[in-house]
Amino acid sequence: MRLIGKTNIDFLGKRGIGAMISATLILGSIASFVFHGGLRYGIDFAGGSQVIVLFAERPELDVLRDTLVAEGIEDPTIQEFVAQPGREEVLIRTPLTDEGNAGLLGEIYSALKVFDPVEVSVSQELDFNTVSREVVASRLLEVNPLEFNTVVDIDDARAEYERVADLALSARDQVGLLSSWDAVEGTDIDPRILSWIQATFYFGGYAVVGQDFVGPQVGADLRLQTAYAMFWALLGLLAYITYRFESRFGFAAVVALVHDVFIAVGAFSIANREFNLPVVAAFLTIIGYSLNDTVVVFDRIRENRQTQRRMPLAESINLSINQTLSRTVLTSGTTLIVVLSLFFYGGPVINNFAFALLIGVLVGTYSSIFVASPVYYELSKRAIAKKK
Amino acid sequence: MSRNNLYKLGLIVVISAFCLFLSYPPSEQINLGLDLRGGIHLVLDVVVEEAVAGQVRTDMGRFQERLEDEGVVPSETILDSDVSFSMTFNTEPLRDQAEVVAANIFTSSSGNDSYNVSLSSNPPTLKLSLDAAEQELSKDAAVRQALQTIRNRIDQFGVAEPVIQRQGMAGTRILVQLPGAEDPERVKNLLRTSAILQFRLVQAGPAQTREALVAAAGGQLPVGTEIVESIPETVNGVEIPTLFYLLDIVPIVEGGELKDARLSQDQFGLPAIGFTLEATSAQKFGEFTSTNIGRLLAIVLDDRVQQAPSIEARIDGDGIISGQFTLAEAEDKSLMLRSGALPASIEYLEDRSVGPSLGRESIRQGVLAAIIGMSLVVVFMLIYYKGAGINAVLALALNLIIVMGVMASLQATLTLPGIAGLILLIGMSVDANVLIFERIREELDLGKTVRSSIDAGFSKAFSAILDANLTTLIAAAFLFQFGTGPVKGFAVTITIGIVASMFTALFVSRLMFAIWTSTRRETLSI
Repeated sequence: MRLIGKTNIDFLGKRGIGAMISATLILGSIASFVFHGGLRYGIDFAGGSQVIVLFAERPELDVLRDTLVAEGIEDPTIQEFVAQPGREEVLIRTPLTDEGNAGLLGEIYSALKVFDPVEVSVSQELDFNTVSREVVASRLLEVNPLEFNTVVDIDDARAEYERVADLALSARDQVGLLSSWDAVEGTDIDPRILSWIQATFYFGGYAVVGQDFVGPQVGADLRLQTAYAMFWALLGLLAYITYRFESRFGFAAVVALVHDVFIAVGAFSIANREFNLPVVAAFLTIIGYSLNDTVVVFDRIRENRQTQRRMPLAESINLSINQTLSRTVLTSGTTLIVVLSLFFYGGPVINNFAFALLIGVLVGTYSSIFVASPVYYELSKRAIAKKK
Repeated sequence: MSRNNLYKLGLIVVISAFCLFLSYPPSEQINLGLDLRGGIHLVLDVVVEEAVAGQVRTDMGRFQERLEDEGVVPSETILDSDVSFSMTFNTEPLRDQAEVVAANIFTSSSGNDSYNVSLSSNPPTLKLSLDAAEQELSKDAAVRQALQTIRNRIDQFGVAEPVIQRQGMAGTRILVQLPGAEDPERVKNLLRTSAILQFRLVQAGPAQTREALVAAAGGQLPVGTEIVESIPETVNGVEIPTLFYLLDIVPIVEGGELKDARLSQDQFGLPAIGFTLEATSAQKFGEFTSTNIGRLLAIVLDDRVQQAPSIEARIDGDGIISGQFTLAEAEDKSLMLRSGALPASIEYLEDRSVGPSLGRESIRQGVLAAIIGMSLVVVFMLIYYKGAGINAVLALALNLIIVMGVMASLQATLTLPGIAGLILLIGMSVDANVLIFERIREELDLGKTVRSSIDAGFSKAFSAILDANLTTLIAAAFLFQFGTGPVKGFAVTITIGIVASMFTALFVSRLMFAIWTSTRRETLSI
């Protein structure tokens, strides 16, 4: 099967259109930058506190916001992270406070108490949905429902209660939040322990499943490190390309790279998505990937220039792009398939990362044809004219 | 099939079997990152200035004691800053005598003066400031001790495979990673608590208010004493307000002199901390208690009076500390006492915790995305390249097996971006095959024979494959160098994957074609 047969498209002739598209994308990025006042930095770079809360029922976000404000958090960001029946996750983020080092995790935790069930019997003092294994194990040791002799068999008792605590809470962690004892009853926990658990614990309405606090120093360090990584990676790639090809190829490839990164970052600004550490990793991968496409075309140009010396430069470049077109479309296609799959099914934690890859694959493919090759053509044309 | 190809096939089978063996079952063999497994990641900063200030305070006290022994008593002693103090004397000769004493006791291990001395007259003053090099030593020692204390506490806490590292050779930051740990607030408290235990003699009190104690002392606190608050207590459900004690500043015995601390019970069967003192301190403590029977002894933990029982009899090396502990608190506190005190307070610069259910959900979604992506690519390759597609799919499968095997044997960590990297790799690794296949098709179109088309396809595609993969490797190398945690995991996965994909495309795929053409020479399904 062939999607793309022998083509003979005059890509270089369309470089004006390409330049217009690129210019529009770049201007759009700049406009969005100005409009949004820069990128929306994620917690890695901006610092602050962030928690991901799993709720038993869809929470009233307005109520949550009001309680957070009442706790003294001035400007909380609340975002529905996952909204599926049975899995309601909300992300709460707060900026760094003026004092700098102190996070606001404590305030967020107290605000969340609104979502605890109102009626809880007196004996049920602990929330099964948030309790940790250590606490369950140590409470069990204290209460000792299995009636171990805790003077002689303290180690055995401890080991047994730790095992049981793990068993009970693993049943919880399978789901995240429980609202009935079915899952715990399904395990082979001793009935004496089970009845103690049922008498002691209640089901809270939420659980914090992830928390982040990034202080100002760490945020600043990460920004600096990231800038270094981008700079050295670009320099390293430039060095490699210049070593493998002549300098005109190298220059053209780097123009395409900068073009790609610019538009990819711009896309984050336009989509108003969070720019965080994994996104940078995605960008660096894009740089490598975009170069990959460019290199394949350049490799072919070099080959054709050597085998068909009489052919005019423009024709030779067009021929090379056409010859590699099928390959370019195919590999971009397969990569696009997996990236789309990651974007749609990979979950909210890496959604921004997948978005960066998605934009990168598209822009990288486009730029190897409509940016890198035309720039090489213009450079070479001038060099040939000078020689004459 | 030629003998040579048979060997190659054998080699490939052995490699895949070995990689499968290494990575099976993946849930046990592959090292999961904190973001997938759940756990706690902390970066903390040791406030080293406190340790320096503490050293200066101790040195000042030592110097004062020594001066008293020599009969050289300053009229006034002031702590000027965190790193210096001044003493004023009535006469210049006294000041000069003090300078000689200072030169005697403040000599560092390298033989240099650890304090810089400056003299001034009118009034005769001796100013001592800690030498800059000594300050650095003191800071470094504080970080080392904090690192050791934290390591002890985590060891005792019982977390498997913790990471506890100083960041940078001379840095004040410590990285702590605890896979599987669940309760970030408890862990943070456990690490943050200084756990400084002191036994100090009560001079007056307890009193309801601070002012009452000051008034009882005649408006001015006696030299060498200070007021310390008690911990809030509840007895039979009734809250007892905080009490105030007037204590000697210099403790009888300190926590550093503990030989052991453990979970114990008081006479009511409530959780308590049992302790044993080191032999020399035990003797000192025994002598002190036997001569002070009937007086109150304050047990001070982190600058709060835990309890202040009266001394009933001589206490030698063993005792218990009770005082409203829950079992978990008593356990944690004895753990902290056992593992030593922190030389300075610590601040958390970064705190990232992932609960087990979030990690599990991430794995589930990552695997789902991988399966969907991979199925689509496989179907596409089979339809598009038919027979040769099988070849590419085999190479892809082998590629994943090798990546898992190498990750398992290198103990590399798989993170969520790492899974994304694997998924990306599925798309990218067919790239090499596509390059080769397209080239073979071109050669076939030129009317070449099957065998020479295959040879030409591989040899002409080689330089493009090499360039393309090396560029991605360069980018991955910088990611690894500068990245942290999850991002590093991504770089590792990508790097291993790219190397493996070159192997499978150039070696495995080639062999498959060779085997194909050795049986059916005339046609090629591509």
